[in-house]
Amino acid sequence: MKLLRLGHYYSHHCFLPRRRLTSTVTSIPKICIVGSGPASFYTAQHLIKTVPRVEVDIYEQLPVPFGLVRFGVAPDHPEVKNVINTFTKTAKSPQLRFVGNVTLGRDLSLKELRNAYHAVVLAYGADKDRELGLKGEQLGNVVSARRFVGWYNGLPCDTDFPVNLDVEEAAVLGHGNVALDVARLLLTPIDKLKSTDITEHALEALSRSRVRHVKVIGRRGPLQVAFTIKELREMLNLPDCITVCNPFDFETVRSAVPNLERPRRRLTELLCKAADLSPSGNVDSNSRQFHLVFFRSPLSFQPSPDVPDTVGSMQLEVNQLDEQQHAVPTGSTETVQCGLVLRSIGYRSTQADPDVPFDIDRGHIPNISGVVQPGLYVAGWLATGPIGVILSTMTQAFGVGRAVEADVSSGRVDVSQARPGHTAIGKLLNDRGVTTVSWKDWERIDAVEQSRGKNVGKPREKIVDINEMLAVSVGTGGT
Amino acid sequence: MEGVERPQPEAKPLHLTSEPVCIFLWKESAGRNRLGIEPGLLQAPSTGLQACSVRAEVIVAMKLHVDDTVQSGRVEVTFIRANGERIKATGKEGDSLLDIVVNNSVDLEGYGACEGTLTCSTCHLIFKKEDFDRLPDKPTDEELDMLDLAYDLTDTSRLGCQITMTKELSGLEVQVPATVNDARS
Ligand SMILES: Cc1cc2nc3c(=O)[nH]c(=O)nc-3n(C[C@H](O)[C@H](O)[C@H](O)COP(=O)(O)OP(=O)(O)OC[C@H]3O[C@@H](n4cnc5c(N)ncnc54)[C@H](O)[C@@H]3O)c2cc1C
Ligand SMILES: NC(=O)c1ccc[n+]([C@@H]2O[C@H](COP(=O)([O-])OP(=O)(O)OC[C@H]3O[C@@H](n4cnc5c(N)ncnc54)[C@H](OP(=O)(O)O)[C@@H]3O)[C@@H](O)[C@H]2O)c1
Ligand code: FES
Repeated sequence: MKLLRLGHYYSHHCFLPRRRLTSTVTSIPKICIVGSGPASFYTAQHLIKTVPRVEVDIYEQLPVPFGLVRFGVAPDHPEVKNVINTFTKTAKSPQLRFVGNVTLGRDLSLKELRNAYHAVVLAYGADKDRELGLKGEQLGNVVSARRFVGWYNGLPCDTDFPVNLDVEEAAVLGHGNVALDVARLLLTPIDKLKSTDITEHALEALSRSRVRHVKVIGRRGPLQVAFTIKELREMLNLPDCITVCNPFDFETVRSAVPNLERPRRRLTELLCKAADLSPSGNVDSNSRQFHLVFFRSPLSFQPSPDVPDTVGSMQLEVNQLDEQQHAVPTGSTETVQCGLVLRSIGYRSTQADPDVPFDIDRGHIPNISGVVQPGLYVAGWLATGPIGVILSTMTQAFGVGRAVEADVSSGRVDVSQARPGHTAIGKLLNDRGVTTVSWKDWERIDAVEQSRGKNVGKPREKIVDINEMLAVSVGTGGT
Repeated sequence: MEGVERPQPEAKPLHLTSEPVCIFLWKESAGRNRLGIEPGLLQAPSTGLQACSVRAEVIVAMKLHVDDTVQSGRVEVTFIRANGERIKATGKEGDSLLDIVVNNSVDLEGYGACEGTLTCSTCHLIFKKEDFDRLPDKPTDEELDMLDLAYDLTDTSRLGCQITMTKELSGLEVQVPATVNDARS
């Protein structure tokens, strides 16, 4: 594997506008983006490159940027976070302004933004999760994987997330990459996490964790898993951890393999290999175990006999697939012991402001290639639903950038009349007493986090409290 | 670059391997710029800039690679965009295709997002069959795993960050897939 530091390589160059508008533009095109995850930064990058003289303002609800790259991507995947270098270069363009600690729907309305800017791009992601709606789901230690991720990654609202790791059996519901992330974090030897940017509170709790067996449970079969091969391979290669599958689940799978498209074929072949290597008889119960369980849907959660109001077991329904590959119950059920259940069945977007045209059933803003209407756009998970990796988010966001550029240069978005942009919004925020965080302020937070990390052998020690972030951002929060 | 001690260059022209990103004009009485290179030796063929025409005012391109392999192990690659546009770029032996994209500032939006750490697949390239077959290093499982996430995957796809240029490969032509997926939803 080749490692490369890009450092300064991209500097300056990406911000030289390549194309000139044919019509004479009298005012500066002012565009704002809500959210500062990958969708936001990639849209901004494209706009700065292609729309002459454009000014892009990013409003982010947290004092810190980067969305799920900071708060989602697992701490033991630091390479994925290299995208931050490119985002930082975009942020340092004189045409970009970062305004942190501002929430759409609380501090500002969509109407105010649309009045102040020629165009508004909504890129506020999906920061809720789907629930199952099952009996017993409210029991203690039946928790959302999203919040567990937020907890180990330092999302301020999840700092005090109540999770008890003093149990041996854990279950993760769902067969997506988030499910594998949380399973891996639970099964990874603690020494491998110590040098990551995992939060101190999570590291401390995980070092005392008694969790040894993690069942990752999907409602469908090996051919329908949503996780990807790299993440599966990592699970199979975990040190001192045995992968356990039920060979019966693979009976009809092997014959289907040759006809699959390459990505699904390779993934399925690896699953079959894991099944082949799965121990047959009894497995030493002291060993760490990763169980891949197929064709099971949760039915209900039962309290533990020992710890009141906390989950102790879960009833599962056994499924089969119908012709459309949907899971249908066979009628039989089984019970598994579990002192911790992590629900990982997908994230969910919300309607941040009553004027946001939101499709509640599908959980996104309806759009055609990112266009809601000329002047209003949507990028990233808010547009596509909570699926896809940074590559797909990036591709969609560049498409949104192109759509905005096309609307500006064709006149569908009229930029001939000046708009006040941040002059008006900044005043509104000031009048409302909102403390905002600039890019320079974030750099102060960043420097303090990195220096605190250095002291403990980590790339950074994230600040997890919003008030502390704000204090540090103005240089009063210690070093 | 200020204050960097450089050996005196040989009397061969140095080529700017990329278009200059940022151009400084320095007046230096000695007729040498901060890199210690005589103005007459600086050439930027791709932009038509000829520093030798500026006598004491020396043009320095920030991205100039003062590198003695410029003369020896130079390799050439042509990137062909989905719309047919051809972009010629140069590098040196041992560079990865990602290095060459970066060092030449080839304008491929989003290319190399993870900076060559095999975690993004934005550096996907499509090779001609005969080139694909003669690439010295076969893809590892890890590279194939990442490739499986790429758009427009073909049987002759590779990740640019994993391809190391050799002299034999110089002159290579690679297709840059259109990353435009139809994001209608
Ligand atoms: C746990 C997890 C791990 C992942 N790991 C990987 C990985 O390893 N590799 C990979 O390629 N992809 C990974 N992904 C996918 C990747 O994170 C997404 O593709 C990408 O982050 C989506 O970008 P986005 O900008 O649409 O949303 P987000 O990244 O969620 O950004 C949205 C931003 O909007 C802000 N916001 C929310 N509401 C408001 C509001 N009302 N006002 C203002 N701002 C607001 C949020 O604070 C956030 O900063 C992972 C996803 C998850 C959930
Ligand atoms: N390392 C990485 O690259 C990485 C890491 C994390 C996340 N991500 C990406 O982020 C995106 C989101 O990941 P995710 O894991 O949250 O979502 P996901 O990939 O959509 O997976 C969701 C899983 O939950 C299951 N599910 C949904 N509803 C269910 C229900 N009611 N009952 C039982 N199971 C249910 C789904 O099964 P069905 O198929 O049967 O619906 C699926 O297995 C994905 O695109 C993922 O690739 C990437
Ligand atoms: S640059 Fe990310 S995989 Fe090659």
